[in-house]
Amino acid sequence: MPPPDNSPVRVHPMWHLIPVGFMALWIVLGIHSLWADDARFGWGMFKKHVDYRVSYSWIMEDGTSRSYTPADELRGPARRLMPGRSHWTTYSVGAVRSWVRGYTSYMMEHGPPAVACGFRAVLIYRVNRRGPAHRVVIEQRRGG
Amino acid sequence: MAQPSASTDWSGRWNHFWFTPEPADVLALLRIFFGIALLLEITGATGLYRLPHLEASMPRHFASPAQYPLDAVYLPVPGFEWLPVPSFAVFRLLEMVLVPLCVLFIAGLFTRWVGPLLALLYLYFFLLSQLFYHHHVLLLVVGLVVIGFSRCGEHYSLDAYLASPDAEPRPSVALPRRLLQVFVPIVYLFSVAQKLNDGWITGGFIELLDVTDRVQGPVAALMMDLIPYRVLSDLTLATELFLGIAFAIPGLHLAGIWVGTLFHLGIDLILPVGAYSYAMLALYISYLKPGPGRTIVLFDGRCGFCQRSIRVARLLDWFRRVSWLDFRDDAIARSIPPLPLARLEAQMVVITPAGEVCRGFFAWRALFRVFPLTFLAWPLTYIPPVPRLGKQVYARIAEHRHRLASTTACAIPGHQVNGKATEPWRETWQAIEPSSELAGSTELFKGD
Repeated sequence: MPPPDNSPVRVHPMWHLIPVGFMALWIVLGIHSLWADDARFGWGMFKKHVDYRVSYSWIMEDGTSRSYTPADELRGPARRLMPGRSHWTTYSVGAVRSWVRGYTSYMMEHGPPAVACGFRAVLIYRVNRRGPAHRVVIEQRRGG
Repeated sequence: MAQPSASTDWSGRWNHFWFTPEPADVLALLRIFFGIALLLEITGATGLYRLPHLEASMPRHFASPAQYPLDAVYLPVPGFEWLPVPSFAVFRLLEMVLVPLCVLFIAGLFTRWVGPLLALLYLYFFLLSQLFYHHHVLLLVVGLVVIGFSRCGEHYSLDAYLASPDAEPRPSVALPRRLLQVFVPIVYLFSVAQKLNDGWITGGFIELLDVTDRVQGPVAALMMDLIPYRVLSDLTLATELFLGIAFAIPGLHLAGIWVGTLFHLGIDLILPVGAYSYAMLALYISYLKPGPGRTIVLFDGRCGFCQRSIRVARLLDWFRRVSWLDFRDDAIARSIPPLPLARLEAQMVVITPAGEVCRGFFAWRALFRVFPLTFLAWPLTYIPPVPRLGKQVYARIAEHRHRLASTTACAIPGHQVNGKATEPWRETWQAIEPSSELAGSTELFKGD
């Protein structure tokens, strides 16, 4: 049986890391989520409605760019990154940026053309269908 | 793990909050209800908004072979790129394993292994890819990791049923329950903080949910027609803020549980949010006090049939509302005044928190009111001729109970007296109606 409520208890110091780490984890993730405008991991359920379109191109060594249309690498839930169509999310802009950055990294790691020195994604989005559309360019350079 | 020690005030409070030993029955309830929430999620049987057309798959498969993302762009979760990525066949196999593991977890069989295994497997799925992220999945992951690694199989489980009758359930510490108690207000408060933007403050976000057909079901249509978007938006923000505060302040927990229950059922009636509402409601169980409640049952620990009945009744006492006192137990006998044994042997006695002493059929009726599973049937026991028939059936069973009892009936422990004057059942004893023959026994408690 448990001791009366006022009985002091002593535990090994390592056990204190569990509650301290647990609280720190969720508070840090929550603050990071607010700062990065990425509702994931920060309990931002239905934070903002973001409509977005994305387009991709290879950046050539001569400074030109060549439009790129994904083959079948964007399948299942990754179709949210398909160009040429509009998508929406409620995880806010930070999440879309994170997905697009992940895709540009993937493209640079998985067989870029020999004459390409980078991969560029252009993200155009609008928050809550109000105000102007925003344009963000995300680039991944060879070795970068 | 926990040992008594002298400690400073703040560190003593800290230790007491997190590491006080306590019975593991609340963890067992968390295991069952959280396990059910997970089962609903992995079978796809979620969403009150589509109740007439609800379907379950065993399990619901995440992707078809052509749409399997993990062999192409799968966007690993930052920091977990090192996790091995399964082939489609292995992924399917793991999905299949999830259902039986979840059923074993709910039933409480091999819980010491099943709990951690289930938690790690679900965590693995979650961490494989950013594409798998959903808030409700993260909520399930957190709850499963905390509950799965705790002593949640000590009660209400096949493990406990199959254990030796002499085996005492091992006490747990408050830590897992407290982690969940702290986690719930963090979720609500961050949820409000995230919503403090133009879309929510003007009601525009709710309007977008409506015009993009994300609110679904007949209740949603009615709600959107009747209530302005701005009001719904303000109500949501105010409710989440209240819940964040209520679950952080002990005196407001009960209010939080009622408001939160209505809030989450409301969400589930209009929005597809997976098992989020069910998981959140299951987490409210962590706010139940692990000690026994104020309703007293006096039972005969030497009567096999009575013991069997009490064993069943205790399984129904999910919210620990009842203190089960074996009036044959020496410790109990020393703690309370001499009792009218002949009357107690004849019929089971229940004393309600208001001090009302109920016997026989009426005792069971009083218990019906406090058990969640029988609460809805409780008003029916007042409709004639149910009371008259109930009394007759009870009298007949009581008369023949020694013949009904098995000679191999196992003794079940009643509530153990720990000497605390603040035990809830003692307050009940003091409140016994003056007209009852048990009333005289309250005299001895007046000095407590």
